[in-house]
Amino acid sequence: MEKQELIRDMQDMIQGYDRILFLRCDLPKINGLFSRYSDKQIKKSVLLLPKEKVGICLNGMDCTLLDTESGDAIRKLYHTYEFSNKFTMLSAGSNFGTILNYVNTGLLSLEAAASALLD
Amino acid sequence: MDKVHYKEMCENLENMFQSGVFAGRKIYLFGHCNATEALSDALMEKGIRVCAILDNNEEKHGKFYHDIPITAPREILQETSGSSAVCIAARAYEAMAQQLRSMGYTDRIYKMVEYDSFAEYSLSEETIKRKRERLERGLARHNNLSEKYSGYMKIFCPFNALGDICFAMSYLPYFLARHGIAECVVCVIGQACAQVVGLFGDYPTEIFSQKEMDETIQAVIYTEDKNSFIAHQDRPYVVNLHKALYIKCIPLEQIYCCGVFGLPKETKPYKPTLWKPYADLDKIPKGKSVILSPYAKSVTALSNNVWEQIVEYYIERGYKCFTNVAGDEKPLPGTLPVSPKLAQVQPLAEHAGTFIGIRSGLCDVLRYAACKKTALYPDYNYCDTKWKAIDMYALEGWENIVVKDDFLWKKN
Repeated sequence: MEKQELIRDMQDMIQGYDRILFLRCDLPKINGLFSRYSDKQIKKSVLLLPKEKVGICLNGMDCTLLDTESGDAIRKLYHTYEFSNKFTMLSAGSNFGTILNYVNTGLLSLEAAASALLD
Repeated sequence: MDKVHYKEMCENLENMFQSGVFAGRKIYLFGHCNATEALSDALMEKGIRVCAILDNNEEKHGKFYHDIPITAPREILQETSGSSAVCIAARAYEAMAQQLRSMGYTDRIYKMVEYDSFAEYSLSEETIKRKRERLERGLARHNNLSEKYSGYMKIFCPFNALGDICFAMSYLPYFLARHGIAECVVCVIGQACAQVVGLFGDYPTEIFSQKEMDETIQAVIYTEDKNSFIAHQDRPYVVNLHKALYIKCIPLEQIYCCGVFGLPKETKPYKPTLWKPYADLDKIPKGKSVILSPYAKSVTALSNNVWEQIVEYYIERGYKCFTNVAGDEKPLPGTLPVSPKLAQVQPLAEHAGTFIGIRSGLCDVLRYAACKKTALYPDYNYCDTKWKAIDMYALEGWENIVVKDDFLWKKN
């Protein structure tokens, strides 16, 4: 994906959605989070995820599949600055704290963590 | 509000005042917090009256700061176009400005201080170019740091707040042990935070400005450097721990233990131990003195009446009262000033016998002091959650008191 195209797509998503979730591919817990995702969500969300994760696409939630190059470009853009508070990247966060730590330490259920992230 | 940000805000205010941007406009502030109160005071000194403080917290609506009403943000839509301006001195500036625009507010919005250099809600070429340059500066600094501390884990404490440093240092040893890390360097903002690090051990410490810290942390995020760790509960923007607070109250202690460091909730925090003696203890009557701490940079101030009641109570009972002051802070009426270094504050409080302070990071530093300790909590919600400050910050072994409008100091 060309840089300008990426930016335009991102701008369109920010205009069109309340929440943009970008799913990194290296997350052991993430399937669990989304398989338990319910219809409670009221915000209009889109899930960006690597092509190989197509099975996670859920009813009622738009999905966009990304090739490796596009996923990396979005990751780098998000890691350059916070360009929107609608955009959330879900990752294991190996060099900072993450909500998944609450699940691992028993403070939060998986459902609660998913609900918090999608709020 | 810390001095660096206060100075920046006042300089911005002066420039805006000189250029006449406020002339003929009704001025509103957005977000009732310590910084907004300071901004209100600064505007007042320039003869500019604030019409209202807008705030999303319904519990604050109908209350006042001095005689300025706190109202819902939508109230500003009553103003005719071109007649008003909103000034924001808050970390969430970008989101707040976006909220006002989404509501239909079209007049001027001013960022009074740069609290969050990570955020800029734009994908314009100019913004991306500027943020890329900022990242490059961070990458260069991060490289230098990595060369200086080759083989060390770099621990970043991204905000100038004593309490956050205390919590980070309380659990850091477990984190290092769990990951088999032999050596680390702790990166902080300002001397005070470095002093707090020093209470926990002989850690190499690097002191950054906020701008340097933000840029370096951006580089850590971008490179996903495995030899760096950001030890904070809600900074920078990639940290999503605060989202859990929308559904569950998790006290700050557990946020650090479990959320930041991923440790079991039963983990016992390390205590600060490397205290130094306070030189002028002979001027403090042992066991018959009270150290009062009324100032905090991130918490809205308590009314003078609260402190007057407390001072009067103790003086009547033969105590000598002292106010912990720094810089140009004034001691409370009827008290004497004391200015211990952070490493001296626990020995001082233990000698005095009683410590009473607004709930601030200093209370975290003094958390284990062997004396009577009282923390006073302004009646406010933690960030944009439904939890009260006392729910998040209550200290074990302390008397924790919420100060409401009808506060009466009573002791048995």
